Amino acid sequence: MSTIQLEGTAKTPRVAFHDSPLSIEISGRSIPENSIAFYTPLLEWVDEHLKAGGTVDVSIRLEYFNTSSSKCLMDLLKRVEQSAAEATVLWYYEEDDEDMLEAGEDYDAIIDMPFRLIATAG
Amino acid sequence: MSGILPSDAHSSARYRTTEQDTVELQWFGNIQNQTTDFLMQWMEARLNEVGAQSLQKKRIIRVAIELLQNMHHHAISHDSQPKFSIYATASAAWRIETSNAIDPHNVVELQQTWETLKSKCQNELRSMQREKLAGDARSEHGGGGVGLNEILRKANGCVDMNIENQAGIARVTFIAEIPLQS
Repeated sequence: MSTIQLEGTAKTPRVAFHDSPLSIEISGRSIPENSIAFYTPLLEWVDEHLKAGGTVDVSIRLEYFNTSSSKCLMDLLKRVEQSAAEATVLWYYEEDDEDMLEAGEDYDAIIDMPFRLIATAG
Repeated sequence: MSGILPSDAHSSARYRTTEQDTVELQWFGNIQNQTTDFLMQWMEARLNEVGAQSLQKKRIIRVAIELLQNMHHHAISHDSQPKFSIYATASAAWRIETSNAIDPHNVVELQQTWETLKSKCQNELRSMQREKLAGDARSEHGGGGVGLNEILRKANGCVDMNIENQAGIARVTFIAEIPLQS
């Protein structure tokens, strides 16, 4: 069994990646100065654990993310898209946060995977 | 957020501090990781205190994040006067001002990029940002080179940039104004 479990900090998100059953969750805020350093182990985990296929929900529930994190999130979603897994992206946004809704719509337009935009109470 | 940016988008100094404005915060000095942490926490607490609308609070924070990380990544090491300020305006907005020295070799490219972005409407800015998000190109610091685009979008175009030469140093100033209520 392989898991990545990271508590959130003021600048980095809570991360919960599990392989049994497969699940990927990122939540909180993602505004590190060095996004690549933070996300590289997560990308490697995706490559390693989704190559055998399976079904996985990718849950993203972010309050803030900087533009460098936005690229890293795209990298992660592309890795999932290109993997053997059947994935669904669950993009959560607070119902009054039209910026986060727009961001989800933009990822949905780029990524070719089932993509659910889910409004939550603020 | 949609609409055409003001027709005088290229003019500088549309957002000036006036006597009616009050200083919320001024930070003089280099922007480090812990500086950003402190400023973020302070802004969130203060925005809650003054009753900023939830989405406007997030937009202010999102603009501030990009401005601060811009300062952190692009300021030159021997700049003795980086500055980050927040003013509360008479029109119930927060005006965020940043000022830092940059490499003089980057001035022309920065000005050209800024003028291009300022000439776009919100929908065009979104399309440009989406294209860069989808592409493989990365900036030096891992982003897609869309920080300025993000600042303009989240501030609904209400951002000025000015570059001055002071004693042989190129100093860039950004001024973004965002209402506390939409």
